[in-house]
This record gives sequence, C-alpha cells and structure tokens, in this order.
Amino acid sequence: MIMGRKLEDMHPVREEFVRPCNGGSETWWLIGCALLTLTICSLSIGVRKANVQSQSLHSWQLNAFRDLRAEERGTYSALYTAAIEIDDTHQNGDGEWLEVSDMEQDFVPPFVHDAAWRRQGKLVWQRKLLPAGTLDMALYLGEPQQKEISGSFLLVMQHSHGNGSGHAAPSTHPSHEIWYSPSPHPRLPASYTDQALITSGWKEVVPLRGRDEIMRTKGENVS
Amino acid sequence: MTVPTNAMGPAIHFERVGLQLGGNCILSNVDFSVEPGTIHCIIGPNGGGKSSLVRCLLGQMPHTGTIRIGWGTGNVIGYVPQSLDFDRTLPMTVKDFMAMICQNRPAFCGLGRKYGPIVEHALKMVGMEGKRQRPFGALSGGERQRVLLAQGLIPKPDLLVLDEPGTGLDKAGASIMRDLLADLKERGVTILMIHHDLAEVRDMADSVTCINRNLVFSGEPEVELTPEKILNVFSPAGGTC
Ligand SMILES: Nc1ncnc2c1ncn2[C@@H]1O[C@H](COP(=O)(O)OP(=O)(O)O)[C@@H](O)[C@H]1O
Ligand SMILES: [Mg+2]
Repeated sequence: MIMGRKLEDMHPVREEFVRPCNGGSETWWLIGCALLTLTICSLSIGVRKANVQSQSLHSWQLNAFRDLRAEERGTYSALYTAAIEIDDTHQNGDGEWLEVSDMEQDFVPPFVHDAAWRRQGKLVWQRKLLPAGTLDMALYLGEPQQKEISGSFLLVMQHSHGNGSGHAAPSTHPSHEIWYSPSPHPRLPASYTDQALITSGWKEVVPLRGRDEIMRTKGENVS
Repeated sequence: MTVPTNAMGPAIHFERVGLQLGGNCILSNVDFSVEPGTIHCIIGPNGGGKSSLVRCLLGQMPHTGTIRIGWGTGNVIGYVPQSLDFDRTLPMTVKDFMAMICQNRPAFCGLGRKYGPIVEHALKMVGMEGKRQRPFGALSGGERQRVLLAQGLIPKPDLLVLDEPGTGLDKAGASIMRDLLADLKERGVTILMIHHDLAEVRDMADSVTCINRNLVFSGEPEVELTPEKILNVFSPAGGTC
C-alpha cells in the first residue's frame, strides 16, 4: 500500500502500545479494599466501647440459676411455665384462678405428684385468694415435706387491672412473680406488697435470659 | 463529497503477539501489519483465534508481545462485535439500544438532543431508519447485525474493527455493508475485519491475514488466496503452538 505509506509519512504519527489486560491492577485494588476493610473493622472493634450494663440484682432478689439448688431450679422452671398457663386461663376464662387440685389432675408440674415432684422435695401446694374487694390476686404457696432438699415457693399472680402499686421493683411489672424462702414453713405477711414479702424473709427469684447468660460468659458480670 | 482529504486512519502492527487463556495457547507468534486507510481482512478456521486477536487489539486480553497502533488524524475505534449477549425479552427499542451505546447517561433517560440526528444518520446508513421503534430483542439476526454495525459508526471511527459482520446479513444487507465500508475507506478509515466469505474477501480486501493459532499467511488477496493454501488452512489438521 504505497499510497497508505505516503499518507503515514505525511502525518505526525502518535504511537500507542496496546496494554495487555491481565487484571494486575484489579488484583491490587482488591487486595487494597480487603486490607482497608480489615483495618476499619479492627479499628472499630477496638474503639467501640462495650456497652457494659451489668444487670445488678437487689439484695432481696435471687438469681434463678446461681442461687437455687438443682431441685429448686426444677421447681422454679415448672412454676414459671405454669404461671403463664394460670394467667392465660384467668384472662380467657371467667376470671377464676386455677385450683391446685385441678392442675394436679391435669398433670401440670410442679403441682402433679410425679417423679420430679418427689425428687424436688414433695412440695405441698395451696392456693390463697385475696379477700374480695382488694386487688385481683392469687397466691400459690408450696411448702416442702423434705426441707433438706428444697425451700418454699410462692407464686404471686396478679391481674394488672390498674397500676400495681406498692411494689418495689421499678421496672414494668409482670403479671406474676415467684418468691422463695429457705424456710419450710415461711411466714406470710398480712399484705402482699413486695415490701411486706421482703420483710417476711422472702426473696424474689429473677430468671436470667439468654442475653444475660451471654453477658455473663463474656465477663460483663451479672452480680 | 465532503471528504476531508487529510483524514487518515491508523496503522496497526502486531509483533510476536501471543495469548494464553486458562493454560490454553490461543495465539502464538502472530506478526503482521495493517496499513492505514485500507480494508484488512482476517480469515481462518473456527476457533483459530481471530476474535481473540481482535480483542487483544482492543486491550481486552492478557496478550504477550507488542501491538502498536500508529494513529493518524484521530484515535476513535469503532467495534462491531461478533455477537451480543443480550436478553431478547429486555424491553428496549433499537433507539434505546443506540442511546445506551452512544451516551454516558442511562438509556431510560432517552436519547439526548445532540445524539438524535447522529443516531438517525447511522441507522440510515445501514438501512434501519424505519425500524428505530422496534424492540431490539425482536429483530432478526441480520437486522441486529445492521444495528451493531450502525453502533460502530458512532462516534465517527478512525479505525473500524468488525468481527464477522457478514454473518446473518441478506444480499441487501451485505451490499449496504460493502458500500458503507468502501465509503469509510474513502474517508481514510482503517478497517480491520474478520470475515469468513473468501469470495467477499477477494472482492473488497486490500490485504488478508490468515490466523490459525499461528500466522498462516498475510498479504494481498490475489497472491495469498490460492486454492491450495485455502484447502490447507480449512482442512482438519490445525496449526501448532
Ligand atoms: N475467555 C476465554 N477463555 C478460554 N478460552 C477462550 C476464551 N475465549 C476464547 N477461547 C478459546 O480460544 C479459541 C479461539 O477462539 P476465538 O478467538 O473466538 O476463535 P475464532 O473467532 O477464530 O473462531 C477457541 O478455542 C476458544 O475456545
Ligand atoms: Mg470469532
């Protein structure tokens, strides 16, 4: 192509070398991004102030998992579940609180006399209703026949019609509480406010949730 | 005609170009030059590495060796791909497609005022001006090929690279393309084209290069395209690395 050559000679030729695309720069960009991400992450981990909020129990409270014996923990867990059932029946039924004998017949632990019941100190349960005209409350008192195995439990069911006044716990008040006394024949106070129970030697049993347990194992201790 | 007499496309020099992909040797020791302002055809068997060589030129492959482009008056490359991975159900008209190719802004924003006449002109050059509102996915193979060709003309290229543009074109389409390429050549555009129709190559190419992993031959069609050589290349025994 003589013509073409001539043309090429007449013009200033800018020469360009086609660069092979071998992804070299992409590799470096990728490594760079990965390192940057790692750096940012490790920095922010270090900088982040762990939100230490130790849920401290009051002197009149017990940790359900740490402060109870194994048998008592069993009773407590059963009671915790039964309380939900009792509350449910009360709200959906005609306002009656379940009888101990009914629950015994319906195989509801810890009221049913099964193997676990025998292992856990054979608690004798009784229901106490508060006199009419006062708060809509029911108490379930369980006293052990074997005092070397278990203490006494008191399930306080309260239907929150209004404000649950006279309670020491500042947080939102649950519709039921579980109290514990080491005595096999504990004293029951005249009124069932937290304060009255506390002065009678009862302690409220507080469960730990999964989150609490995570915090405990991480060293953010729940005292 | 308003052909600027001083316009001239680039020369291209392939020097010991090799290409390995995934441990396979695709090209090795390819050496040839493309003269400025000519129509240069690349032929060779399927899988011979023609498309790969073109993509090396476009800087899309990790080739070895040297590819030099000696630019003339401009440095615009137009590229007409062999095929397009394209979802046929995509609701996109020919005009949308052109808008997507020519502009930096998203195609759904429509075709910019500035580009309207340019796209119009390009579609007219390939005889597709009446079908700009057709769904791109519904075009026939030949029609799609024409639109791809039109797309390669925007902006006005100094080097036009075409990968088997004749595939799927009917007689009318082939003749439109031939005229178009002849016109571009007259304007000084360098045209590098992969082609499989040897009769066409003999007809319009200024020079021809045969690639089958290695360079098989390169030169003027009248000299190189002898029956023996062609038989040799397109028979089963391929080249070696
Ligand atoms: N990205 C890739 N990775 C690996 N091999 C490839 C790739 N692209 C193409 N090839 C191989 O390179 C060879 C040449 O392909 P191609 O350049 O498309 O041939 P032609 O266009 O001459 O028909 C083929 O064997 C093909 O399988
Ligand atoms: Mg190909």
